[in-house]
Amino acid sequence: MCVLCGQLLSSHWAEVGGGTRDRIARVKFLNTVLAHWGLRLDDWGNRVYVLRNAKGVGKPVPDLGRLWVIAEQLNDGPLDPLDPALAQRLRAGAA
Amino acid sequence: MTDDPRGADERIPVTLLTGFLGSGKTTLLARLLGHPGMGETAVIVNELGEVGIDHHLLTRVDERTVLLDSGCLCCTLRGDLADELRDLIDRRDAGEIPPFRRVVVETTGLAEPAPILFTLLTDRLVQANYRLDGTVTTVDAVNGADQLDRQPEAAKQAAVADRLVVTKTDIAGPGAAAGLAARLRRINPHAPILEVVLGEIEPDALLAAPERDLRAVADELAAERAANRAGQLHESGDSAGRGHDHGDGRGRGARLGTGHQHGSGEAHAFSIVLEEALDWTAFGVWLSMLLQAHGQSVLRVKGLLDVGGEGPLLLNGVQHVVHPPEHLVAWPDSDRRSRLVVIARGIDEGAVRDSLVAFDAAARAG
Repeated sequence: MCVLCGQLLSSHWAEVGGGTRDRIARVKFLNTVLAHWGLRLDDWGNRVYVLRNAKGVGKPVPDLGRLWVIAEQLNDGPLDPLDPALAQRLRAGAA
Repeated sequence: MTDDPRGADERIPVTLLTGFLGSGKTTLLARLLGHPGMGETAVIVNELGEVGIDHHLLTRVDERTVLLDSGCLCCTLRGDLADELRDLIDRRDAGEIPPFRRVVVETTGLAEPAPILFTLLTDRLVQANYRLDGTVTTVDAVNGADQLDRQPEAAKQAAVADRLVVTKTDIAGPGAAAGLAARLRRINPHAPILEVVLGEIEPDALLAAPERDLRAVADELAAERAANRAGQLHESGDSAGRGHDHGDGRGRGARLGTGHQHGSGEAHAFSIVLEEALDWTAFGVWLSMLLQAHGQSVLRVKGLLDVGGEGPLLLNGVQHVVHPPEHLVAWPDSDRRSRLVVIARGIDEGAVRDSLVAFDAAARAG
């Protein structure tokens, strides 16, 4: 429910009701986005994500809410979805 | 369309009554509780006022907050409120107090609304027994505009409202109420604005009903369609009223509607209308990321989304706190386009729209 405090809740709002197929699709899409900052997400047994930066430093991620907090730490800076370069990259990949 | 697109929810509705300092919350509450239809109402207040509401199930809490490790202020747990809501259930079950059908929580004038919503959505026992029915915000016609200028909490309280109540219109100067209403409408266009003198209002007009919330979103859509036809809809980077092709080869349209353009950091609402169904995975990733990066700027997010099901998905968020989305069994009217309403300050509306469309296109291509 809260992007910063998602680990306290039963499920992150964007992950409620989703099955394994949804989780796989989410990880795949997240990697499309995270690649913009040289980050990669892996899913361990459909239970916990592991996020790594380009230096290979990894951290466990319980859900989508905490992902962005940990991504900022590993990126050493914010990840802005409004970055025009990200939108351009996503559109180019979709073309 | 069905009579009840949400289906039955047996949980006890909680109405949050918030408002600017001295704006008449307690007067309004006292009048409301005097209405015969409000007899089985439990009331939680921070301060016991002089207004006589003693015959009601009244309980007082000392505002007690717990700041979580994340340091996110809007996710502060209101431990006092959670304890009191749980206690009401325990006492009812033990026969110590009569059954109650509704709870009204009156906040202090400076209370942050998001922690209260976060508490209602986070505590498992509270969540199992209660549902947030709506937020009523009082604004007084004499001082409201000044408070909007000076107090950041005031804009937040206006932004989270499902109903805005303008009080003291009888003692305000000529035009004050109309000017304030126009400003409130820019901040929160989908909340009905009600003028109330000395708390005189029927409960039914004030307490939110789910169908009315849906109706408000649907009405906004209809109004925007009409504005679009009249060529009044703003379109960043495009001609007014045309769809926006982002080169994804699908011609997917997203329209951006605002009452007018804002160059300042004042809170205001804008809407994004999408012509085709959204990819829910992309939307969840996009919104959670947006709220992390710009959570202090985005005061409210609300919408009806077409994610490919029979009915829409109802989305409702306050700052970082997002309600669990609800799948509705039917659309409120024949318009099935997704519409997202964002209340924000200091954020590039066009960039928000472009970003959402780019995320959606990428997910579909993947």
